[in-house]
Amino acid sequence: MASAPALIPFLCRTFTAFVVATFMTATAAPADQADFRALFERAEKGEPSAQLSLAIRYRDGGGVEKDPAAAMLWAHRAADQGHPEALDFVGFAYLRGAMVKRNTPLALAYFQAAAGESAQAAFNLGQCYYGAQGTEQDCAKGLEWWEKAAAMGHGRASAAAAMAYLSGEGVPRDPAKARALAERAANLGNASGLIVLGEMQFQAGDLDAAKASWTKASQLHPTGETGHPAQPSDNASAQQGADLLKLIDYRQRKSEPEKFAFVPMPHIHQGYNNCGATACATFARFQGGEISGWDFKKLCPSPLGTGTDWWHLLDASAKIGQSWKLVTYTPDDAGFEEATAMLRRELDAGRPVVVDFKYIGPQYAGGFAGHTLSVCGYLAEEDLYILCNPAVATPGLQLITAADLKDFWRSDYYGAKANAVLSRPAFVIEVP
Amino acid sequence: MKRLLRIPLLVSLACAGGLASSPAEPSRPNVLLILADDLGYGDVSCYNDESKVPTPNLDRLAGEGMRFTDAHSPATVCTPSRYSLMTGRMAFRAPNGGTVFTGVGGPSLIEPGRLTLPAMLRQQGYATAAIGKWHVGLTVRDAERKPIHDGGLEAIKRIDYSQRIEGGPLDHGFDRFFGTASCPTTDWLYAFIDGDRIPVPPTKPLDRSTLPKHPYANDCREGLIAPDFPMEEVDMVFLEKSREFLAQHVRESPDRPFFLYHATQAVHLPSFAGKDFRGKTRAGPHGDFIHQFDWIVGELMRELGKLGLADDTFVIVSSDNGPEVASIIHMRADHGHDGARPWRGIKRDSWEGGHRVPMIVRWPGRIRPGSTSDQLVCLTDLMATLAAITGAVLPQDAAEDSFNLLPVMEGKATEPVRPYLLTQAFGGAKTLSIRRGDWKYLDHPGSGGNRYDSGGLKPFALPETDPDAPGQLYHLTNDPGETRNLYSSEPEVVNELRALLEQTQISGRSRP
Repeated sequence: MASAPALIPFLCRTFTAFVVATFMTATAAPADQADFRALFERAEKGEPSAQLSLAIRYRDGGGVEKDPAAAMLWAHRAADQGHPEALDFVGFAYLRGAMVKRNTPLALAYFQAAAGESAQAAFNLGQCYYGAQGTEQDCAKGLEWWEKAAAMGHGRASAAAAMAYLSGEGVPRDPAKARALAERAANLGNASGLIVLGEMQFQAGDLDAAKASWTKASQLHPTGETGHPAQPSDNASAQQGADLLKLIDYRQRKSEPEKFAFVPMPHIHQGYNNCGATACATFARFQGGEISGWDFKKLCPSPLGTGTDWWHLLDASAKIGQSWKLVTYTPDDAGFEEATAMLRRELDAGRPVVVDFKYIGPQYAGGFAGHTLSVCGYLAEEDLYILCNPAVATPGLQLITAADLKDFWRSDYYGAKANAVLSRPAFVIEVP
Repeated sequence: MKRLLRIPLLVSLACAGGLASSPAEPSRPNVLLILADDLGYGDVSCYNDESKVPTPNLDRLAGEGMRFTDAHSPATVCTPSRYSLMTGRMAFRAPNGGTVFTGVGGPSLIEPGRLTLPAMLRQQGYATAAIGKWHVGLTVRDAERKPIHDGGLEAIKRIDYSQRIEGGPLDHGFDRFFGTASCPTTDWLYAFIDGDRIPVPPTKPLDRSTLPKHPYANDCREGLIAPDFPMEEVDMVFLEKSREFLAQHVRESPDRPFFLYHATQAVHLPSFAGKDFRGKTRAGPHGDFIHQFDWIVGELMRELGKLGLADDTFVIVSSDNGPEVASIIHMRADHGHDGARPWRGIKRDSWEGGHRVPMIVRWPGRIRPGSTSDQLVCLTDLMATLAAITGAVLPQDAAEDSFNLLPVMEGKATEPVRPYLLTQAFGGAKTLSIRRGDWKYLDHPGSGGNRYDSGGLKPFALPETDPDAPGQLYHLTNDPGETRNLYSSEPEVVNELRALLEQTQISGRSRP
């Protein structure tokens, strides 16, 4: 056949001018510049892996100034050629809304296109189905894709599936399957999988095995005395391993009022954007309820897969016969003193507290979102608090310093809405 | 070769800046009807100055002929739209006339004995050929001669390929057919029909792992595939078959006019642009696919020119309905291209984007080059138009919704040729709309097709301005975007248009 009309040269020229101009502004060393130029040339010739590498460089500022538009442009070039990881890159950008406007149906379609060949896309597709992102919720399908991703070697997908089967969140509870998936994740060197496996070992009384799993997790990524509340999930899991090692002893001791408290809570694997309902379901289960995170969410008017207003959470708790009280503290030092005094009182009495943290991710600009979790213990001597966080691996335990708690326990959204009245919100169990 | 000898005269007249005088007697030009699938109004450069997809061949064709700006597909989905194109009759008047077939589909929506566009032209001495996607329904049988009309993979497995296919193009006026039963690369049966048989039956399950992966490729279901069926080059096969038909026709029957109906896979999802078109635009795989369609139009025009037929062929290019959901939401976000621009709604919807389509006609000597018409027209009108051109007499029980556009094309119409326009959305007879002049009445609430309350179309939902109204009324001149529902504020117009709609439903026709 005759060749198609040659339209590309003109378009390429325009584009090249743009990219080279961007390139020239980079302040990288000459070797890096040569490396970048070589990569650019390969990308320009149409090599999808080079196009994706270029997109990553523009996203992260690797040898070139960060440029989200250029990152998306090159990622699209590669994705349009069917490069699975590039499809996932574009899909994830739409899911997070980090470099483009958040658009979950588009994200879903990109993950669907790539899921057969990209373990990461299969994991993300599972996230979409499990968390109702861009589609109706279908937990079974979510698990199916996580298990496919796990079979393709994706440790985090295996760990996510393990946690869902362990807590029975969205699927029938299946401890044996959970164990197998946790072991698979651990064998794949996934920190989250090691945390879950360690918890299963801990619950079974095999402390040495639990310690070994958590030690291994803690060595996979950098850790500190305590972790910062906002850090990449792999780092958070490693830190969780370190925290769990520290907590082994406390978890087996009786609380000592004013010295330390630990209140065991069930852990439910959190679906996408479902921290509020999941934390509240955990809180309700602690009090003997049976409700799941998703079912708690369904008691609230906002759709699945979207954040939940705290007023709606409180209304929902009443619908299941729980008696909770919303308490708040001012954002100043005095308010924090009062708040932590309340925490210790409650924890000494054997009652956890649900709190709301400020959100600092890219998805919701303007601070109108938060992250909901529970405080389930404290270590007075070190001025540390123990969190039960639905966003991290089973059992959700992690330590936080009083300083970080002071910084993060605040709801800018509610604060702004309610003239600072809700600056440090908490749900406490109402005691008659 | 008498017909070909006339060409130089026509060319010289056209070059002199005038048009050939309209002969009083009927003429018999060749007819090339190219029907795109799901090509939106905004997908074509000469209809959308913000299009991100170059369509030089369509633009050139418009420059050589007439571009209609208010042309409509009769329905907002494939099967009923194509039924109406073939019969000049609205599909909601036919039993099961709102359906969309998958797999082999069928039985044929076209009733036995109904005069069709190709049958009418054949009566006028035309050689008729259909190449490409049929999608009006047909009947295959199993080994026990039982008809198979179910969708799904299991139905395909039961087909007895030794038996004749009934109700297909050959039974409705075409002398020749090469193509597919339904959407070629979308569902279940991935095999070519040649005439009334599938000469190379499918033998194995479709291996989707080797097909392109991108968000425009997801609409490709499991199925059985024939060894000669190239999933990514189907349109190139169709093009080759049309070329063969044209060459053979010139060689073997040069004195007969022909009617070639070329119905492409492009640009229906999955967007499998041929290998020579991938990456040719900066608008992603679907942009490449649109570009391929444009290239095919150019190739068919070049073929006509090569064979000396270009100046004696009446060419029509249009689309069966508006652009598809996935291509719209992705192209808007990924590439800043809007295939429905400037209209509200897309494929399946009653709003303009669902059925206002590009329509370009070219007929040297009869249609002024570079002309534009804002007449309200419909694809059903091709039948009456070609009847007028060829001198065919339409019986009362045929082409009931077809109006002669020849006066418009020749620049002689001073009044609207259509008193009103009917369209049907995805819900068939339950989602009809009627347009008269500036007013458009939708006899239903909502889109009539897609859901806008969730999923990818949610960002494009517009506020309901008359939420309790059972229908919608828009003034398209004042409000082309169909944003203000005037149902409650203009009850007289609503009553008038609703009565007209009911009357045309009862009478079974809109043509006098």
